[in-house]
Amino acid sequence: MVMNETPLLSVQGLTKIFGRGCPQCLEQTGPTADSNYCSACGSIVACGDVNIEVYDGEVLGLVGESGSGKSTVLQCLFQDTMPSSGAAYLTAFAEGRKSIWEATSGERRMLRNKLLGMVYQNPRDGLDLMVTAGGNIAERLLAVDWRNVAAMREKSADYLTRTEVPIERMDHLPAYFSGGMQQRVQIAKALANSPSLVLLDELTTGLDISVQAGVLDLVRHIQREYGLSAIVVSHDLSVIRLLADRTVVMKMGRVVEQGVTDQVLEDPQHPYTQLLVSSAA
Amino acid sequence: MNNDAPSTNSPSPQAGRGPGGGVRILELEGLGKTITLHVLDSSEIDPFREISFTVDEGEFVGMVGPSGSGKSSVVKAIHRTYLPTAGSVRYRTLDGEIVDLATAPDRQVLQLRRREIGFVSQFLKVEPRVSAVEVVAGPLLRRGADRDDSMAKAREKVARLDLPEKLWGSYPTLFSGGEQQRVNIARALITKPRLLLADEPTSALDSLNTGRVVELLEEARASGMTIVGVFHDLDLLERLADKVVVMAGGLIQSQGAVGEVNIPRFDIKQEFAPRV
Repeated sequence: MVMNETPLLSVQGLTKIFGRGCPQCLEQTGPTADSNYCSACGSIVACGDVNIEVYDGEVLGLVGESGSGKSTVLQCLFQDTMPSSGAAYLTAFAEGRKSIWEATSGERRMLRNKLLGMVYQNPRDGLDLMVTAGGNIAERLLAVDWRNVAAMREKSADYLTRTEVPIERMDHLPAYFSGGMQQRVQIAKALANSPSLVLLDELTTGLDISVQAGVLDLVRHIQREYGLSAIVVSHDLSVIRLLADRTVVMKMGRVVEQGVTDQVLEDPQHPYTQLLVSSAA
Repeated sequence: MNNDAPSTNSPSPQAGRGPGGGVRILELEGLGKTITLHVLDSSEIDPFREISFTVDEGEFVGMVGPSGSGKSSVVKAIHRTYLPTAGSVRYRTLDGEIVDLATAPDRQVLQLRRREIGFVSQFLKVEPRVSAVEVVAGPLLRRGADRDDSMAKAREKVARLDLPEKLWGSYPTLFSGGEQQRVNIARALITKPRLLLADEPTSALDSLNTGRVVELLEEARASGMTIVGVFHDLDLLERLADKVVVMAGGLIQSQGAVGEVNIPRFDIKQEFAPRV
């Protein structure tokens, strides 16, 4: 068995500081300091020196309490915000030789529209609610130079079917959809263009339990059928248990532990993970 | 400690051949675990210490001992659900490579689990809204097997579980405990793992259901599968296992072939004896 595989995504030293930052920011913050506030300069270190890898066909879980920096990691990867320092290499981008944070504006468009897919906690952030469900997907196709309307409609219909959105709702506005259905349209949109990595940020938070199960089953289904590579951010350990192959635990902007998911959940090593696991019902 | 296997002469499983002539595929040496409970004033507990035994291909090794003796923890440590803190778990892969499961990279552990090492727990971890057939087919699909083929194999397996056919497409969440456990075993066996780790697969079942599970395990064993399992039921263990490892207080008390080792019968008073 050869284990020297190249990760699909390799994040190195990702740091995001809100504020002017100073040389002491990383020392002054983190789980040991139990703070993400740099007392020297007053900046907030949302995440510091984060190193993670995602391999092809793998779902990586990212857990931690609110404010641990897990969503910041996703936002940096999707380039909603730019990191203060660090590099991230995606094999599908520039053959993995150039950090995605050094991308030109044209390359960034390609990263966001083609190579990466993002599903936000709030469908409002990922969808244009005043554009039809089909139109939302077509937008993403247009961005990578699809021009044939019939082909785009066909593709949209295909993805909506896969995510179990009734096809007759394709020409309706997501503003009038239920939360679960909005989330499914968002997933369809993220998956259109077959991105090499999908980022899922708290995708079931705020949905009622039967709808949660439906959305989770959908992701599991896609995982089984199409070999999804993804980062799943959640504070819900049952979601992580269900979806993630490996899990990374964050606290105060730092990675405190990572391992095979069942090991992290059943034999947590770090004090914070032990607390997190013992707090779950 | 009664170390009957010739492990002292052949420290590497590569060279080892067991009494049955099978290739030595697993070798635990000095395996130990210390858990630091940070939520409890950093107190430390040792679920098991100095665990050494070997398993040959095709062998069925049963772990016995009173509750809390560490037998389940050892099986979980082989699976790397628990992270050992001392010793090694040398596993010989299908390719003949020796991998220490105690320290192997996460990715390698996952890959071995997908291809060679199965685990069956006491209860099915039910996935919401996934049909019984699909639950059973899951490990095949995860390996990238053809969908129709996987589903056909799963149906074949489910057909042998004495589940009413109308339940096949239904969600195991709605099943009885015994039905769920049958699905669980079928799921663990579908990929025909080379090494199956079983953590009390029958302890929650009545005798009828236990019988069905035992049948599946016997069949797996007959097909050449290597099995390391924790069993509470000693009669069952004697029927299934070639070799037993008897544990007490986190240590191996004795080990050897079934019939040669005295398996202590645990009575209820001892099981519930005050521990301090």
